[in-house]
Amino acid sequence: MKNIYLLPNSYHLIGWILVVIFIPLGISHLFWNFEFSFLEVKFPWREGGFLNPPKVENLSNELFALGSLFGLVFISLARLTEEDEFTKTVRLKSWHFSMLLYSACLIIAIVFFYQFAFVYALVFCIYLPFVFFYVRFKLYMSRLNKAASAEQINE
Amino acid sequence: MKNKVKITRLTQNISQTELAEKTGVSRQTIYSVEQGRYVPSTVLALKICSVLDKRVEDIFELEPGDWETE
Repeated sequence: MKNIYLLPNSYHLIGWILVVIFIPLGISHLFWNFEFSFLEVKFPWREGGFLNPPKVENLSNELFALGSLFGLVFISLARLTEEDEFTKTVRLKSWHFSMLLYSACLIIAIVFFYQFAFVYALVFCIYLPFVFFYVRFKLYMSRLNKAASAEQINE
Repeated sequence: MKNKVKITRLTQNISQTELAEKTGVSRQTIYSVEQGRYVPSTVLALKICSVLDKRVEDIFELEPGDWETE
């Protein structure tokens, strides 16, 4: 499985910094319309009006969404300090688990959420695969580390 | 699949860390192999046997359940 591309380990920290900054900003934008006024941009060539891109747009939501997404991608795809065939197998199983859980969340969103609540649910669903993957992967590796350390001490 | 990695390793006084370093994998990988939680690749199995100076058939053994298809 040498053809799996993983980011360098340093991206793990960069990812966490992005997540800590942009996810709270994204949540505050989603629920309280928080925006940075300096990110307001004018597009004079746009027509504006109903169903057309607006002439004046604040890019805060794009920044918060992309910052959060890049953060989660960096965290998920950064290699461990020790990467080998076993960790790659655990990664694969974790992504499989993540996809199953993500599919269940989508089904719940489709069945139980309507109108704008459905849009809000979908916004959260964008990030769920990475969250589910990371939690599963980290929990498994952490339990394994503890068990392996305990056995090492007992030998 | 059963294996005798742990027993063979202990009789030769090799630690998990040492075996992991010599085979180029993490200690957690060796632990998982010994516990039967992970079936190593052919390359890793050959490396383990090379370090322990044993044949593959002496360390790894198929079980009846391994013949069943998923």
